[in-house]
Amino acid sequence: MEIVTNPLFWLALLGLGVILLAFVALKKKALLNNVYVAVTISLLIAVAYFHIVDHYMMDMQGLDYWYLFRK
Amino acid sequence: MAELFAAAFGIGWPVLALLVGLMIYFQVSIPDRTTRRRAVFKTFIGMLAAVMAFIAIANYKLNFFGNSRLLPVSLAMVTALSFMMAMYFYKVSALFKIGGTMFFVAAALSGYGNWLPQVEGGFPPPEVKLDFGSMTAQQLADEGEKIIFGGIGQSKVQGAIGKGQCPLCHGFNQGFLSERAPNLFGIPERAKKQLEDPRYHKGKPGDRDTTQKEAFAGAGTADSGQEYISESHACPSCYVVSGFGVKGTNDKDSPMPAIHKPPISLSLGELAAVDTWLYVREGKEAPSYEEIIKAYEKFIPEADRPKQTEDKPAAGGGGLLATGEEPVDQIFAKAQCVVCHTIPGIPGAMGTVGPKLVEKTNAPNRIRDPAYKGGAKTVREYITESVISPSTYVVKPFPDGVMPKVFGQKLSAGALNKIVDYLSQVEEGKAPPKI
Amino acid sequence: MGGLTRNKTLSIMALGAMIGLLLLPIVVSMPALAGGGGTPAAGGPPPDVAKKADTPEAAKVEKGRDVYYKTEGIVSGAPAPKTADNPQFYPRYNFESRVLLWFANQQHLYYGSFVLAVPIFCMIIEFMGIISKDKAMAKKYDQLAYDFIKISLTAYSLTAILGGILIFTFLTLYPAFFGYLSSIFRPVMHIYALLFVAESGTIYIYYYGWDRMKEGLLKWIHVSMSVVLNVIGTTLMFLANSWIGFMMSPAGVDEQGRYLGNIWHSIHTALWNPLNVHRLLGNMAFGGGVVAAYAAYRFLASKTDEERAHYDWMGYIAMAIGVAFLIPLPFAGYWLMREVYAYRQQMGITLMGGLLAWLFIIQATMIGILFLSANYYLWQAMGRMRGAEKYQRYIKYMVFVLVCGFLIFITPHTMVMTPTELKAMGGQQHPVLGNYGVMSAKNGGINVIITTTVLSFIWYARGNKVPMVSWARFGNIFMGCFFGMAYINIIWLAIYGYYIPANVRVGLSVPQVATTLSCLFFMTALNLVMLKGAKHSGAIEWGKISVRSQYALIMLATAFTWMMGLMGYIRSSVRLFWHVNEIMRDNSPWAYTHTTGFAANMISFNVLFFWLTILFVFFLATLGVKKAPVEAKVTVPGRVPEPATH
Repeated sequence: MEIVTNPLFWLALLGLGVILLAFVALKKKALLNNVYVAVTISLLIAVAYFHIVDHYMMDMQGLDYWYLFRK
Repeated sequence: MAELFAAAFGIGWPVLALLVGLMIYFQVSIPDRTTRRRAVFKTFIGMLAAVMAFIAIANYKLNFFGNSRLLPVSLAMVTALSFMMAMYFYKVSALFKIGGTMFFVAAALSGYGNWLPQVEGGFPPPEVKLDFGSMTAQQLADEGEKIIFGGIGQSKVQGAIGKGQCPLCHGFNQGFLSERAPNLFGIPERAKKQLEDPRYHKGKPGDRDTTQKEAFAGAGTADSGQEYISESHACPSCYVVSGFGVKGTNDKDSPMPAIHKPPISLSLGELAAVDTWLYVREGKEAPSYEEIIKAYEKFIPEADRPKQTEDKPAAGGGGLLATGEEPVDQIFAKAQCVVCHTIPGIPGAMGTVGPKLVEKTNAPNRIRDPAYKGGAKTVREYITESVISPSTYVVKPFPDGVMPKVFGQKLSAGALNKIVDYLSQVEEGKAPPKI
Repeated sequence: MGGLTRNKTLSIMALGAMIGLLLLPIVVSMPALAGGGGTPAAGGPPPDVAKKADTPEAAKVEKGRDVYYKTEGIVSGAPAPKTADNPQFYPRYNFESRVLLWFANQQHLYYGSFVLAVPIFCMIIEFMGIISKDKAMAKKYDQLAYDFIKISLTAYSLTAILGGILIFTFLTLYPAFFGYLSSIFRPVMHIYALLFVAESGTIYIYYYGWDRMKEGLLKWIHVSMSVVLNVIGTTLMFLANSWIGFMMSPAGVDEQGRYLGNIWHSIHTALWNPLNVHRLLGNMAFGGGVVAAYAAYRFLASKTDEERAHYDWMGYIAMAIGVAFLIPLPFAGYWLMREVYAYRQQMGITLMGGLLAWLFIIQATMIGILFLSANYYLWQAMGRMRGAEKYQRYIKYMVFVLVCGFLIFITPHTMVMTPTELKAMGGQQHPVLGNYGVMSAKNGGINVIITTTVLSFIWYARGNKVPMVSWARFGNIFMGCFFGMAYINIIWLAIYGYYIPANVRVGLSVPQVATTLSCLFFMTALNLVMLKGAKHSGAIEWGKISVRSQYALIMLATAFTWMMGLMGYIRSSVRLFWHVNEIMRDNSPWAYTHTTGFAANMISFNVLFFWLTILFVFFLATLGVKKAPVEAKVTVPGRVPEPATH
């Protein structure tokens, strides 16, 4: 729980997604259009991105997005 | 219906006459049979459309200000006639269809608006900016009665209450039950005597044992009856009539709020009006407006005096005690529930005038009570009922008629809901719910 | 060559004249503003000292406290008049004055927003024409912009006439109130008048200079003229907004309504900026709707394929612009509501949960209808593209999603009720519905609708194209995942709202909106990149769109007009019985608020009146362009004159 509610975790996840994407795009171009690779990278980025949006948009208003999980 | 047709005919007869003339003209002048029949038929369609249009217009004319919910029918009729015309007059059919679509949208939305519950905002309350200073004593007293009871002559009505909210706790008539706060009958005379009470410590505020010793540092104590009344309004805890303190504080603390501060926030002028009524209704001569104001200025520092313009009735809300936006503990405080009831979990709610509110435990028993005649089936319904109409079921041994019957009007629906929400979760012997 | 140089000089002079016209009011009003806070752009603090020097009787200065800014200022105006219900304050005909004023105001506003919005379109489209590399396309754009300005020119004179009628109505029916308002805004009223003259001047120069300034540098000068024109127009609107802003949330006056000498305070009231943004966006969406309706009308009335193709295209562009501004509109509205709540909570409650709450239910329904019609149009529009068939089978699912979002969006939460109704229901909320209509869920509904509209747009943009970039497959999968997660996130936040307390819940709308905006920006951008160098699977066959789609456009336009009337009514009636909120009371016999049904009837009347007149304006515009189709007809060989019919 502790880790999940930490925005840094999601930022790291997003970073990982982007690095993976860059790696595949630059080094293993053939893999880019592989369905499994593409879905993995896309989901990684999208899930992490929206968690970050949720967290920081709430944080900006002085509210806690993880209210229910911390309780 | 007949009126409608008559009105429609009254507006549209020249057009109808013209169309009839045109039809006869076509019938007579066109030699070719097919062409003639088509022309006559089209004129007939035109007449039909014209009749519909004029009925629609007449409907508007007759019912425009009448709050008739059927006005959109007119628009629907125009929609229908537009599409009918579009069918037969194909050269301009695009225009008619477009018009028909527009009328259709308007008819649908208008109809929707008329179908919804009709809420009308009433006329504004009369202007509250009053010039108290230039009033006669009687006028001032009338205003005072309005502030206390909500209207002139309301002082004799059980349960009447105005923006000052005084009758929530104080009795005003001789012999009236007044357990929460002193009965104020005879206060003009009694005020002078209270000054001599040893517990009052006239001239020596420092010797008082109350939680608050002075209205503000250096204010001192009252020297006259009017100053005593003023001090009681401005600083209720400076001196508590014995037996009326907050339970358990041994009369060191008063349950009464400072009247010039929120939530009641009467201005000095309004306070003067209230006080004048106290004298005038007993046939006594009231001090002059200036004297009363001076008495208040002794106990209310300049910065704390509410401006008269700030206490207009809340727009639309019509002087609600609570709007429902506040947290539930504030609602209990603003509605003054805390003065009479003990409510677990609500700070300051230690009252014993009414029953302790542990409704999750109590309500089911009350509903099962053979003496219960109300209509509630659930805990929530029971609480709502008890707040809105307290006399439906009165818990023994408490007397009937003590709790005001005005909460249905004085609480917003949202506030009431929050109260019900909270109370329905309070259980005897369990920790109170979180606010 | 000489001619060209002369043209150049002339057009530069014309542009200079326009800028001069723009600056003139400001220069002229400098002395008047010296006591105030300068121009809106400058917005300085009040130099009270300067004012003091002006008043010789400085010995007897009276100070007042600003009701909003809480600053002290020297009283330099009469208090707001205290009116009474008599013909001296409220002269009247044998009719409800307020309804007359309502009508005059609404018609002026409709035309006003139309003529303010269309030049902005012109600017955008003309610019698109200039930067377009395709010569034929550039010409098409240019012609379209020219058509637009022509329509707005006719409407422009009508706007001026309606403005005159409005002022006349004010002066005859509400002289005391209008006198007070103009006494406050005296320093800017003549700026307004001068700006209006400037707007007229520039619009004519802009229109008549079109053919002379077709090429090269001249064209650029012409576009800059449209910028000047729009700056003037927008300033005009901002000034007009400041008056209604003052009426809703007065500032710059003391409690008695006495003017305190700082005009900037009176202009820059609590609600001014949110109103500006909301109105600007609203005008653009409205203007798009009107032009789209015009195109639909011409499409339906046209006889030839070329005409149909042209007006189909015009309708599409107008609709696209309209919807582009419709999408941010709910967010601007949300900001406005927040500011209203911040200004006076009671006002917000009257709007959203009190007297006017049912009108907001109508509004929610209408927003849903607008988005549904826009989506419907886009789906129909895919029919004119070869290759877009692949998306058709998904449309039913989108309809389902949209309808679900719509139903959630219109579910009410709190309502005003009488104590009896309350008792009958046993609480403030409906026993079933009350659990669902909370704002985060409603926001979830509208965000789902908007996200789906974005998706519709992206599908439409891809309709006849096949992305050829090497990473196309990855791009598609990424887009799918992103949209999928966006939907999940929005819905999750909507549900999450039920499990957390209200004070945390209110914040959930921000991440929801951010999610929708992320889809809008990132996915549109990604789509653009992906479609670079895409293979066309078939041309767009303009004019091959279904007739139903054109009725969708008309419905969109009418519904938008209706919504504008509704929102204007809500905004105006939230003042309840105040002319100027908490400063000047309305003591006329019409100080009460009408029923929902009466308002709906009145709005319908205004909408239909506007459309009947604007159709007439369109008709006038077609008279002018009749020539071109006639010439075209002549060139079509073997065309027989149509037989005369009865």
